Amino acid sequence: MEHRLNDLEMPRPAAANNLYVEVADALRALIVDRRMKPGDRLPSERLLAQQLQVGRPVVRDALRILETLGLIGVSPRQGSYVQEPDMAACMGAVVDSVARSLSAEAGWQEGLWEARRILEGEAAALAAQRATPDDLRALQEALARLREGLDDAAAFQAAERDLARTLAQAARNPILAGLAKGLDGLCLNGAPPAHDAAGRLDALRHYEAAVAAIAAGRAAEAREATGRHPQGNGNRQAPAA
Amino acid sequence: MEKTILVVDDSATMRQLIGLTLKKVKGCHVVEAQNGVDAVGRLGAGAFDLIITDIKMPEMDGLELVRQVRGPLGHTALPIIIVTTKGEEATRDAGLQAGANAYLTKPLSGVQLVDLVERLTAAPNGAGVGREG
Repeated sequence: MEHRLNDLEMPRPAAANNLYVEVADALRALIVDRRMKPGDRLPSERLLAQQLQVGRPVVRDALRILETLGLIGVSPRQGSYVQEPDMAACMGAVVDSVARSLSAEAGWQEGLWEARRILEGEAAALAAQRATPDDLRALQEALARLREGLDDAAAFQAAERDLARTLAQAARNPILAGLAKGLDGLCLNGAPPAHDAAGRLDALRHYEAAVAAIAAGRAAEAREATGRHPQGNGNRQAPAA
Repeated sequence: MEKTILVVDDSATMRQLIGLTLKKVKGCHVVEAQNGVDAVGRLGAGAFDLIITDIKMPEMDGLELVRQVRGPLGHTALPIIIVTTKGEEATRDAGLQAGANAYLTKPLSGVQLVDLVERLTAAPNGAGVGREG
């Protein structure tokens, strides 16, 4: 078991200056840019310290940070190695990076909402084919939280986002889950006013229909119910009469 | 209640590390910015409950960001935490003078960070929250 000096899994490096952060950044870049691939072993602490011309405690602190972030694993006998990436986290970062570069473009927020609606519809269709019993249970629980939030706009909005994330998970596609996560964060930045009471009830009905269709394995129906739900105010498709 | 926190640091590792730690704060959502200029763009595009900013950054440093937020951007009540390094006491004082609500010193303590974020986002306009050491 690797000894941790941290609390709440945040390392407390011995070095008071920023050198360990710079070393961690440099090593992180090697991993994120795929110049080092999952399973690759990192040079020993001693060798890294020599190559980077820093003290071994600095390297140790940097490696501890990378381990906390899940980028590397540490084996007592084999040393440090690059971990398999968390695909959902990677995709979230990609979406964020792309959207950041587009954020000056006119209409980018409307584009984001449209993309999210399309994604939710397709995720619901896949969920109808792939959702596990655990997924269905999670969807029912998310739906229950949505019902509980009917009288509270902020609670409803939070529950709606939670349900959207659960839906993306139920599609059993890590890329879709990652895209949903990234889009969710970006949409929150440009969050429109929450639903009014009638809008909340409409959204709840659409989600109830979608979850029922997913549970019954009816993909087209799940896609339609999710894609048609009103999703807050402004720039949204009106619900079917 | 959802809380959206803007984490400003030129180190991707530090941004990720702070984001990971803030997962301990219920309903906390982190948006990242690479420097002050990026942060100002982000602030113009959405609503935030708190800013955590490093000081030394290219293009626009943390001190200038605090000044922009409190001045031209008009966010007089938005809580700001500045992150300083040991030995930067003068910079830290300048940050507080410019309008930051609190500071944390690297190496960051996860417990301190979470505690401070919870207090600053719970208290209206950061009221009743003291300076941190």
